[in-house]
Amino acid sequence: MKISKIEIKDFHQFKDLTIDLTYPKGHAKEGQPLDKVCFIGQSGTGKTSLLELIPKYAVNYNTHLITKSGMPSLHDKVEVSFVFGENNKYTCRSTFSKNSLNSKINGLSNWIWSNDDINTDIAKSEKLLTEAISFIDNWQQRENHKLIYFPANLLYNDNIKNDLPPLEDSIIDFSQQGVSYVWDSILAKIQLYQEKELQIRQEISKAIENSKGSVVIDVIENAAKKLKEWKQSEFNPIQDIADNCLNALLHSFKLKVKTELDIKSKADLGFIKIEDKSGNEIPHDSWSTGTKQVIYSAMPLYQLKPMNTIILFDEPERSLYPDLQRLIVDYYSSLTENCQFFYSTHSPIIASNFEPWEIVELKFNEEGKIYRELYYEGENHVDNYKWNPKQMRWDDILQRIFDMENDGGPERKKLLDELAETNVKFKKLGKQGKGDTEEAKKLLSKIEILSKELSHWD
Amino acid sequence: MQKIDKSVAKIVSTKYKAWVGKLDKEGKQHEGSYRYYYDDVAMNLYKCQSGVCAYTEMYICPAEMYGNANWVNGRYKIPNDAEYKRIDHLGEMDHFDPENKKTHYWNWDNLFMIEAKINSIKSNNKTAAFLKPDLADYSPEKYFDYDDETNRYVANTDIKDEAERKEIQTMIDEVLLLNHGVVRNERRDYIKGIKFKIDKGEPYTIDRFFTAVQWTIDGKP
Repeated sequence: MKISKIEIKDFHQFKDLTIDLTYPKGHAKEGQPLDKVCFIGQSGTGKTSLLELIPKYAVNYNTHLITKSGMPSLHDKVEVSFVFGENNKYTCRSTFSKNSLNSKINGLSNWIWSNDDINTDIAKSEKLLTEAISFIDNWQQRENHKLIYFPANLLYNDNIKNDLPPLEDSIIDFSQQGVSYVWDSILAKIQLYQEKELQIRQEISKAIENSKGSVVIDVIENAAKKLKEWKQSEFNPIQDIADNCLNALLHSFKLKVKTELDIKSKADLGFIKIEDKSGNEIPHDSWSTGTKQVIYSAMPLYQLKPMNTIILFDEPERSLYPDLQRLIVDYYSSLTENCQFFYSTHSPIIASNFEPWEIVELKFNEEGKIYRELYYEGENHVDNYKWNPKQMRWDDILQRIFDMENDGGPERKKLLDELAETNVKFKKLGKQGKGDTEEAKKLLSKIEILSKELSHWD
Repeated sequence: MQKIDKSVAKIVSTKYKAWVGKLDKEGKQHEGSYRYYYDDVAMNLYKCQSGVCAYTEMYICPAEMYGNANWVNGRYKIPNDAEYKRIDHLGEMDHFDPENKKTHYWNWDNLFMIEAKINSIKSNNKTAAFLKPDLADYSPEKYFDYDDETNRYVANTDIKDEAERKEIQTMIDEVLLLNHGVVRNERRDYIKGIKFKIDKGEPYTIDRFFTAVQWTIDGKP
């Protein structure tokens, strides 16, 4: 399932806004829904609102925004277009209509299909949608097809156990439940593996204890062989998490997953441990906010292995150092299959991971309503895009896309204005034949001081 | 920035001129939501401004769009088969005096085309009246200097009144956005390109940043 268009007639700060989410002309995927989308814009332009509208129209799930706004605010105001299935075979538009029978009776959305074979009256309901899509790939019946929402304020719920979501939910909403939801199954696997390893080691220990004389060496060798064979044949969940999920990112924190068995207390059993490059363990309650952010957002994707669904990330840059922000967009994509990602961000570094057509920049117009700033001139063709964040310098992204007016803070601007003014004064004296006067020398000295001061940072 | 001639003789959108003249004669207010003559006004302004932003002198409209052939019987009409469509420009209409637009939205004297992003940052900040580019006694030399080392505009250092200099500098930095990072970089690169062609003895045409190019190459008049 992917979204190809969002149309908002009138909802909150949005009025007559159409967001085309397909690849432009001249692109290899021309006309198909974008694989990833990045909402940017100053606070209040509705980036999070757009993210929270998606679950309502995709799977009729009430996010915080919908609960707060109430259903009447959506009636005939918003339309979201989707494509489904192999080669995007199925397309439909999702709306909530005041006069719809479905909406009146049970608050369900209207699904208006473009495919004649399923566009019947009955088809306009989630029930048929579920059946129709189940026919394609059993969506919703499988956990990895659930839509996933990572809010800006991810709940770092350290109370690992008993945080399962209601089974009938068609979305994994981390704004409503702690990230610990996915940990249970991961930790259970780790615990099972560690228990088995402990059991084998215990057997070795007992065998050595009960053997005598020269037999001891044979017993030890056999036991070591048995342990080695078991390790080779048994899937090691900790090693897999280290190799295929966390170490790539923890490397930026000079950390790695501890893969050696090291049980000091009951609490150590069945848990992911982190250590520094020297092997010093970092206790769980001492993990930095950035470390938690990375682990708690990567693990659900690693565990669930999402497929053919939509994944929403609000401010993924939170607590992350810039070099890590540079990596996470591609990293999250690598943990999924054929998913459509929606990011909302204030970070130019996150934005630099996107093609220009994947960025939706929201701005206020004079009436305080939102419009999308287009990055192309004339026809929506790949050749007509004036900026490409993937190829631009960070400062250029800040200035051209994030509208940062200056290339530095107010102190730098003040010094640059002062230098420009002094340059002009000095040149004017030169033109008047006064280049050797005391006044000119003073100006030159000031130019040298200001230039030196500013050149440190150029 | 550059001096702009918007005298009556320059108005080729005569239908618009007649319409707005009638409204004024009858003492009627202008409806901002009535967009019938928007293209007529915008393209006529581009013609007066030589296709650049009235403040930053960035290139925002191709010359083909405001060529004389696009006016028929006093109305702007770009042919359907033209290379450019009517929306293929990067400007927005700026009301020099934001107060005036409440009652006289389509007042020719109060209108300029400026680069859209500059317009959004400028918002409703009022420009000092003496910097209106179409005033009879306006000239950029009078109020501005340009430093080609830092690529920045500063208030004319010959102005003795410090308060006036300060006001002009505020206009440069916060209203006209002449030193906006993107504007400055594009101006720097453009001048560099022109200088390169001059050094190589290659032909060149200047279609933007007229003031800074002229002052850098020929010196300030």
